[in-house]
Amino acid sequence: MKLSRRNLFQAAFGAAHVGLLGRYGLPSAMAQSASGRPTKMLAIWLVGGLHWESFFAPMTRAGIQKFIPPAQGGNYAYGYNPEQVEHLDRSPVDLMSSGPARKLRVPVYWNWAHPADRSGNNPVVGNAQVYRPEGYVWANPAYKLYEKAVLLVGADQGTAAHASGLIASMSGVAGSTFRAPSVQAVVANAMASRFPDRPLPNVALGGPLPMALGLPALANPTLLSSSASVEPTLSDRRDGTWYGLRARKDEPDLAFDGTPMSGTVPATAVDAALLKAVRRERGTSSAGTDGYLEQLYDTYKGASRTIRRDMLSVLEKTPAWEKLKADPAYPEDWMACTGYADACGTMPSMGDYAFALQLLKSDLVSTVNLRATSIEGFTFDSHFVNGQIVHAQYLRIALEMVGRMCLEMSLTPSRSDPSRSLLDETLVYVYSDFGRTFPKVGSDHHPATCALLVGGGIQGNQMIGGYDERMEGSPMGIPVRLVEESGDIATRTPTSQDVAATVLRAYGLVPGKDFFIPGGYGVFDGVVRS
Amino acid sequence: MNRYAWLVVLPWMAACSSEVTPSTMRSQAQSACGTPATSETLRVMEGLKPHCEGCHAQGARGYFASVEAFQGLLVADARLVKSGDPDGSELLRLLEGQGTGAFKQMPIGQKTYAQLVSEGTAKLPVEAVRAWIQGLGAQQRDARPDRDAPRITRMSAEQMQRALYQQLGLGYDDFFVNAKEFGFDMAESRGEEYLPLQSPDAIPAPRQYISGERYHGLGGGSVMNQVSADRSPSPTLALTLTQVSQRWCRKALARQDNTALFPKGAARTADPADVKATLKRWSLHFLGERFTDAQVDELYTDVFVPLATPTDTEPAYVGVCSYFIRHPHWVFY
Amino acid sequence: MPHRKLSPPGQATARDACALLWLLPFLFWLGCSGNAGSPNGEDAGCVEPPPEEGSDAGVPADVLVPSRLLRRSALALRGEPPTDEEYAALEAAGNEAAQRAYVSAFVDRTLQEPTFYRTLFETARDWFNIPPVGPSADPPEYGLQQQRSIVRCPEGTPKAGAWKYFRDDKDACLGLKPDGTPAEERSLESWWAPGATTVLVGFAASVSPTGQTYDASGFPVTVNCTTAGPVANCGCGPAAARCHADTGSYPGWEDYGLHSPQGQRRLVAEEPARLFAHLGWHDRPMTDLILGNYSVGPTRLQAAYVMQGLAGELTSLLEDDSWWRPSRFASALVDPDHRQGDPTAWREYSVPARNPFFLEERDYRYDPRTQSTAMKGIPAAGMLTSLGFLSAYPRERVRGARALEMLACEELSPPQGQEFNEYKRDPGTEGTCQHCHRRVDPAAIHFKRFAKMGHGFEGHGATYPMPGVGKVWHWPARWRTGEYPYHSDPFSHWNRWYMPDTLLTPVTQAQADANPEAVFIDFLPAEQYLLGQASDGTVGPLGFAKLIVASGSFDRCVVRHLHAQVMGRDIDPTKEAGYLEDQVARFISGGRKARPYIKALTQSDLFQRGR
Repeated sequence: MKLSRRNLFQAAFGAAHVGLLGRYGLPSAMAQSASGRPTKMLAIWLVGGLHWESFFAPMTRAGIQKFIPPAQGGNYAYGYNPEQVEHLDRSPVDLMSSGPARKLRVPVYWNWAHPADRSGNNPVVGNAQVYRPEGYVWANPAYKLYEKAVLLVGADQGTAAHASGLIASMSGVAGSTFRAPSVQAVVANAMASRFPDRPLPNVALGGPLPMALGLPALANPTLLSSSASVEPTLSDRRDGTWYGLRARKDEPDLAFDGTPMSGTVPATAVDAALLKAVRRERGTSSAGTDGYLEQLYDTYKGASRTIRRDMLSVLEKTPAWEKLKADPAYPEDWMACTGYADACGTMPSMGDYAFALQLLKSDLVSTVNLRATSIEGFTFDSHFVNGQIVHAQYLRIALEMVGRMCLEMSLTPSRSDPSRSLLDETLVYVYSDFGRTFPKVGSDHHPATCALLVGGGIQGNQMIGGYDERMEGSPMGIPVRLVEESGDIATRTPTSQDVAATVLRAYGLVPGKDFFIPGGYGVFDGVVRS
Repeated sequence: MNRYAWLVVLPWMAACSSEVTPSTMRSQAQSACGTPATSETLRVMEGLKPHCEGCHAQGARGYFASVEAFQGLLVADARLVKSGDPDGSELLRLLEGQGTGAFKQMPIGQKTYAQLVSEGTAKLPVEAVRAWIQGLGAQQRDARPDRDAPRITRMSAEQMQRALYQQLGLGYDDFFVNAKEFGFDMAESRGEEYLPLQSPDAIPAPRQYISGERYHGLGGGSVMNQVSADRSPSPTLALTLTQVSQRWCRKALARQDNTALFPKGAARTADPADVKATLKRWSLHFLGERFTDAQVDELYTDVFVPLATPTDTEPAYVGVCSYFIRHPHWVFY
Repeated sequence: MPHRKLSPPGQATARDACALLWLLPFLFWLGCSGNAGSPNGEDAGCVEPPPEEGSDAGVPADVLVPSRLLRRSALALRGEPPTDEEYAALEAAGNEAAQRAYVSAFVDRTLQEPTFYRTLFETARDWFNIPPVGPSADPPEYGLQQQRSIVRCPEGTPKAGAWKYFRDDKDACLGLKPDGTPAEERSLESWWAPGATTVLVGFAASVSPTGQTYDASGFPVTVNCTTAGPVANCGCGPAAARCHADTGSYPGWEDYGLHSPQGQRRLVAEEPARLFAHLGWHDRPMTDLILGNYSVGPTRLQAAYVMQGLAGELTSLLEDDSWWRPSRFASALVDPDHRQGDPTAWREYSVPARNPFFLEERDYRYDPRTQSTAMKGIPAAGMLTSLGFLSAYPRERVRGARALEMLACEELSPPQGQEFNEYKRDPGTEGTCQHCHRRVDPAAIHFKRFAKMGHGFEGHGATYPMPGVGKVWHWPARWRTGEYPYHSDPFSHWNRWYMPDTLLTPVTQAQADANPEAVFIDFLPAEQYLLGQASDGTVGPLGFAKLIVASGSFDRCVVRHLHAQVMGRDIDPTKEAGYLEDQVARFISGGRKARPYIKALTQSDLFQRGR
């Protein structure tokens, strides 16, 4: 354990946590046991704060009647009646049960018999709504995507501010700055020793970066706002930049303090000279200075590896949308519209899902953080008049998009283990800044939010938690069973810390040993498959 | 070894000189060092910690961040802990629910500390806190900066852009032309192959998204677009700086009569003496320090020679130019 | 054993670290060497480090050579490295001592250069990080009381060169009204072109005291042009003050586009940072940033304040030319990139002179629970009453929280697992919310009196009421019911959050019933505290500013940010409480001015060290 890293943590954190964080420098014990666990993450940030309760239905019959407007809106379907709510797997629904553990259930806006129907009136709601096909992807019996999905309900972000909520979703602790590393960085770091050939462990495609705080430099996020960024940033293809400078030699890999490590660094002449120069700086000033220099050192090494890896060539050979389009119901040029055709947009307008697919399929990264919206870049901070109505239309489409992404991943075999799919080896974590005030009281920020987990390592077709239906206005969450760091079971209202802990636990990371989140945390019981 | 003891010693070592830790600040004036935490102080800290640390772990009121913090922020704050005068200490008043400021009690929310003691949840009795304050002598804070803190900082994206323009003899016009948007100038890229970069907050603002993104790649932020700056040595910085330094060095070297890199009279040849003279000049030019002859020789051998061919020294000059820009003495100051 | 020397930090290898751990119990037991009391329960006192003799054993050899020191000084103060000429001049100065003297002189020179002003501005801009005022409807309408866009009649039209309303007056350039009769025409000296003649044509030129517009149902309504502004067929007013002569290619975007250098939206976003730079440049105390009643801005920025004053029907402002006639501001102090008298300069101006609702007096008190006369306004308070700050953060709690974070360096972090009492209705005292709102609400209370109503279109339509102030911004008591037409913002927000008997609104139900405007109480009553301070009753953001200055938080925060800019890092309160205290004392002893403190920093031991 090096003093310099410890001091770095202290600077960020407070010494009380140093001892635990220091362990991040050591390889994770979970590296060995991995069966059934994901090794990648796709973190999807739906921007602006969501009316989760307009797409999912965690409330009882009484709760629905109390908080949700009755089904209405015609083409602009909005609100729902209890009769509309079904399990995604179409098993009988008990709307009296208040949970906290139940099957995934949603208000059904689509026509089960003809899911693409967008013109027929829905008799279940007395023709008050026209069928809306978006959302069906989660229920489609041909794929049963619901079996891989869990909704965590009613987690308290501890804030109602955008930036703070986003940080709460990424790291477990709200705040204007990161006070714990993002889950993306923790996972990237944990996977790094198992998958050293993933040159960019932690990639962000836009939005605020999932910071690594005090973790090793390799876990720091790299910003790639689109596939067009790859060539100028990560490749040595351009002659203007690289003519005469491409030659690399495999130099012995040395730590910052000169200790030989196993392996080599594919360094150019300039890279090697720089690494030598940075090593020479060690110990010439304060411990904190050494900390910075060590970060630069590790980062330069990582850059050498990244460029040598020639991600551009790999990505050029890696398809994005490939498997799902064989199903004519899910074409690649899908155009989604709200209302009759009030606003329409294609898949790329909702976020760079295609580039995320390439990155995940190429095995070049461990975590991808994707900034996602609905069509035409619609973000969900719908403060305006009738915001909740508009929001509901766009949210259905955005979640349909997420579902289609998951389907494509489920149809793509994993490169390292063809017996499982890319979805099995990835945990898809869908989050937003926070929830929103319940529809009858407008569309303002609300600290109680949900998180959707899809894919590897989790027990699907579940909805854990609910809303406290005794409250007026916008309810907070109800208590759920949580496994605390000590192993004890606690029953209390979940928080953003608990969501983050659950995400990390899915990878087999051990609370208190492989990660630590300030403020106390537990893992949602029954979510992570053991 | 209990990690806690480690925390005890560090501030103590910083505060006092002993045979074991030399002082770094002999030149500092008197009253530089701070009153160390006594063992009784530590006992009180441990007792209060479970009920206070949750909120008071960092920041201006991060009393429980470390023993140092407890001593320096709380014990040495005469309003909160008045040595020898428990009733005059806001800390005690808060623990008993008699606070005189915005907060009437600590912890907030439900039960005061005194109530937690009486119901058995808190172990350290209030009397112990009282006695501890009673027994405290004059407290003094160490006025010196944390000697382990970093003493360098990374150049911001703005500083990097200005430094590169100046030191490479390049400017805005090498990368952009002005083009009007709604009648007002924006920076239109002359070509992506030159790797242009411009802050979205600058005037003229970049017209192409990628020019602004490259600026963000150097860690620059934007208030207009509410993007946070990142002044850490991040992977994106390393990659961006590698690409930019090489491309821009090449562009600068391609310019005829670029006096920034080759002032009048400086020869640009393949002759080792000329090359080394340039390297020596460039070390001052880029880094603000004169390389020794030994350093120059090493750079020549390690970087220039491998990149030079009998007919072409251009890549070698680009390589050493990029070396200086990526050097820790360039990136940090 | 006691004489064993440790290797200095940073050179400790893992092996040494283990050895160190082994030593710990021994060192602990020793306590401070010799001349102190026992470590067992009594205060050990403060132990002075004995003077070190002999070699630099263990001290990092990290004193910068003069050329690196010069580089650091240049980058920290002006954002650019030294030039070759400057390095050469440094070396020519002579031996090391002479070179260090050169660096010191370089610092003095640089502190007087415009690049230092730029550094101050950029530091503050990034520090405050105030987003540009958002669009309130569709672009190019944005928050702020805007002027109405007028455009130039193009070449080839009968009235080429004259200015007309962009919308709803399409035949003006032909010299015609919509009904075919001749359009009005007027020559005047406009506020944007002093000393020249501007010609207005069409409704823009009208000087009629009344105009006709239509209400929401389409019925004609007569308006008083002086108070209603440039609506319908009312004119631009004296000096065309109510209008904005748009020179862009699409009207509205000159002021809306952030890339437009004189665009009002950009200017307003920059104002707080420019004020900070101005204070540093002109050696004013930094407390003026929030306690002062002046600010800086070009003519186009000041127009926004005038419009706000006019919205409150202070029509005397229409006769005032001090904000646009160069001879009236020829001696105002400006930024170093402009000359005095330049309308585009960031010149110092009196905020109350532009918008008299931002008061000049520093101690204005007003208690709506007991006073029934109209409130005069709220005292101007530097950046806290700048329109950019107020409009960028639409509500009082957001403003309060941001002001606490920005100017008092407060951290608002979520609670960590404690139990709280039940939340019923007051986030300031109940539930988990109180963890932050105990501080946020007493801050937020000062920021209530600036809201937004409606939305505008190309320059007019939205209004920014200062509730309870002056004679315009009052409504029938019915607004408290929230029924139409008081169902939407800002009424819905006020009704939801300004509840009696809460920390944010410390009035009784009876007081609120007697006077609904009592809920806009915007000072801290005697029984409330913020950061340990009680208020003197000053209302509005100035009240908040006084509290954070009195608590010392503002000084500490400014010092931390200046330290970060010059020394490359923040001061950590948990580890450097004494150092921070010391730095603040230095700052205050220099009159809270930026230059002397920055100079002192460059002379500190720490500034000389690094790599």
